[in-house]
Amino acid sequence: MRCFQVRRRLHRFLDRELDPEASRRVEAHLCGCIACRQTLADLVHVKDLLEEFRAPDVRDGFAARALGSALIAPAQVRAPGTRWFSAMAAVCAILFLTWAGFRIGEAYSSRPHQDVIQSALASPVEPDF
Amino acid sequence: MIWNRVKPIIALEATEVRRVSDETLVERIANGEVRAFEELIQRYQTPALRFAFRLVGDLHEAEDLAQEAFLRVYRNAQRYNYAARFRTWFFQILVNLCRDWLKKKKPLFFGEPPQVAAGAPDPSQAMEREWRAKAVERAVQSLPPQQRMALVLCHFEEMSYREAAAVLATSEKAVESLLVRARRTLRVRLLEFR
Repeated sequence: MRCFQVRRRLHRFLDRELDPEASRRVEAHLCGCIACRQTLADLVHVKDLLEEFRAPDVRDGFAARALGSALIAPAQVRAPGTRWFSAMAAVCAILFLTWAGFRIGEAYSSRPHQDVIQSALASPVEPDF
Repeated sequence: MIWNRVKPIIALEATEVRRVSDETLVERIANGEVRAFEELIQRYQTPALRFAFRLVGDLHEAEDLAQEAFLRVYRNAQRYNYAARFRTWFFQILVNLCRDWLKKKKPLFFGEPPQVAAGAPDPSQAMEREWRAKAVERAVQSLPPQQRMALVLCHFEEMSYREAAAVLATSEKAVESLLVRARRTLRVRLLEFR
């Protein structure tokens, strides 16, 4: 394994994400390569420094507060079949609206066009003698 | 019918509930068992709070986010996909909450200045340790959110690349790339502690 191949795998090696065979090959390379060992040492150093980033402990009463907030807002327990009922209701509503739209459209199209009649009355055609 | 109404009221035995898996607890929460939810909070309160704190940098905000995550678990227990691990699902919820919080671009809280504990054997060493801890905290919190999330999941929560990828809704390759960039940045920013 060459240096560039090892360096590409160093993060996975550090995080134990390499398969055993690849790990062995990386280890074998590291034994004989000071530069790659130094790169790995840098990564290990960063990883060690991260241990300094301590997070606070849970404060007393957190569990009770979380539990209380959930109990105030009860779980959305859905009765079996409710989802199907909602879907069917939505489909029925869409069908009804489509049908109603067609009916209204038909009613309008069957009436004489009011604008055309009014404009004809307003400007009668002069007889051409 | 009557049994369904009575079941939630009956508290499970503490010893029994501690033996069951997270996934079974969610199933019981979906059936309205409050004791199962309590146990789930006990199991996940520390990782949830620490994860949120490492992302948002403020304890009160982290508590609110963790509490909201538990609330969503309780509300959506019915919708839980039993094929997925609970831990992955829970952290997905938490990551989404933290992501929304970070989008609001609230300033990060960097905590109190380093203080030396009274009676410390060597005040200068204690001070240096505190100083280093704060520097690491600042360096992590200055990373872009996605890199920070990948780092916190893989390093502090000890998740595999695959699990972190599932939580972040991305690929393993992308998680690796995020980690490489995060560590490279940290190495440069923490050069003084070599």
